[in-house]
Amino acid sequence: MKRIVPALLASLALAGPASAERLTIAVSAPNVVITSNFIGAPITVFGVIDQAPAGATPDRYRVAVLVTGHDENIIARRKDRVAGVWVNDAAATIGAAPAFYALSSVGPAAELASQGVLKRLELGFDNIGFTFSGAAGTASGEFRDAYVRLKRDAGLYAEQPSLTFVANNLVFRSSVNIPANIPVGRYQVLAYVFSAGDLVASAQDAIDVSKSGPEGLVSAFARGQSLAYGIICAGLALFVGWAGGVIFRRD
Amino acid sequence: MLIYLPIAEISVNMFVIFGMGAAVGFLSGLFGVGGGFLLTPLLIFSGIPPVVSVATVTTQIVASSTSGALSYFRRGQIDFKLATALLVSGIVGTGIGVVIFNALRALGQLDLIVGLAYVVFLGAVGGFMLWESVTAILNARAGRPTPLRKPGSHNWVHGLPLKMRFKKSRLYVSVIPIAGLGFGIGVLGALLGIGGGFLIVPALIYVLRVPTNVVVGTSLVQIVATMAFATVLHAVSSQSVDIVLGLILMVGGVIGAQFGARMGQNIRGDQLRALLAILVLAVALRFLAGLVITPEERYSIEALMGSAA
Repeated sequence: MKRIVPALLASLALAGPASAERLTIAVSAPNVVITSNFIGAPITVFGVIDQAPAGATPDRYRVAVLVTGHDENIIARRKDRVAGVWVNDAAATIGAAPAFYALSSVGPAAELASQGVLKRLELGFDNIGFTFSGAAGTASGEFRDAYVRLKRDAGLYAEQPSLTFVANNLVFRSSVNIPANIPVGRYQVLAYVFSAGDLVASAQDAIDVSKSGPEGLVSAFARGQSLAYGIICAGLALFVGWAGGVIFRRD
Repeated sequence: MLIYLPIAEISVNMFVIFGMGAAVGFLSGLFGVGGGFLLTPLLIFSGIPPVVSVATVTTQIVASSTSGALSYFRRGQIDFKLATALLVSGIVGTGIGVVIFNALRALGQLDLIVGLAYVVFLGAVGGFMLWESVTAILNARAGRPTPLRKPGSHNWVHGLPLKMRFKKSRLYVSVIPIAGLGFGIGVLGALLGIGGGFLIVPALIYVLRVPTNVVVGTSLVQIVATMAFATVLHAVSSQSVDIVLGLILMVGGVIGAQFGARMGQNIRGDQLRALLAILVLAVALRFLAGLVITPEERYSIEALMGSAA
């Protein structure tokens, strides 16, 4: 994904003076800390549309909130039957694939704005700007669909028409579920307001997902000092085995 | 009680994992095997990534083999010279096994090769054990004495050069088969997450004619050393040893093994071997099914190392 703020500003400028709406958002928990009993966390993104024309109601707007974060290069493999056995056969590399992508919107994502705008903002699974490279004969659509499906199954990709306005005010609320298997890192929160198919306002924020306490220390140590970590693991195993032998000694 | 595994990066039910460790520990105490060949598949089938499963089970094997090795050491039933010869070659094999492990992982064929290897080795060993133990049981029923192998009998292995004397085992034998055996077990151990006791014990008895009273203790020493080395290598090369997962498995395994060992004393040897053979064959069949049954999901995805921002 190549979302950049200048592009947003440019699009706002193009929107013209008629739309002077401003969007302000707030995230209920900007810091998500993974602890030993982390089972995922629901997060709410609140938003307020200011400076709307007099008498404007929520019906005037379509809103989308996207929580997404760090791009990965993914290798996707397909199993085929070779000599009676299922073997990883065809493979393709999917680049610029966000590790996490949760979109919530008023109504279906496809109806927010024109296809061109959705493509540019990468709103909706079909509009994520993956790069693709595979051997000859591999169809990009097939691997792309499989990738999105697997990520959805893992709870890491979501697309829901679950964004609601609060009563009849220009205040909205969007729930995002941060699953237990989310990779640590910084995630962007991007909110867009559309009116009659045009982008009229946008805002961004961030959610930091980090590991704390022993879990964070262990994984940092395992990566940073892998030799010492390995020796400690082996030493611990020897100790537990020795202690078990002593405690349960029968001879 | 859910607990987050820092390396596997998933939450698991602590009691389920502990129970698996204890159950496998019980069976390993009962049958006198390490149990890696059961524990690694159990972890994989329960959703722990195969890479983490294989790497972490090495710690559990070290722990369970250490308690066993200690009790054989107290009884003086270990041939340290033979164990050293096995483990020097075993360490070389382990290093090569870890290299193969990482290469297969990069190619996306790790699961396939692990599955095929389980089918072949467990199928062969389980089949042989079942045949042997059922024959023994039938012979006992019919009142026929089980034909014993003569301890002094030699085979082609004993004609090989580079002979070495192993006093404790009362052996004068070439180091070539010993080195080959240690090497092979090292490769398989690192690749499959097994200690290899169920392979090395029959090999020492039937091929090298090592006396049965020192076989188990000696193979345990070799397993402790090679698996401890495999733990360190996996930690360095793939950073996939999960110490939290390992600790739960170890504690469960060490406790379970005590009860298993007690129960094992009340069951006859040939019946015990027949039960173990059925268990080994069941695991082999489960892997075979995984290879030939049309998978529900034909696609898999994996983030390339170092690509995360």
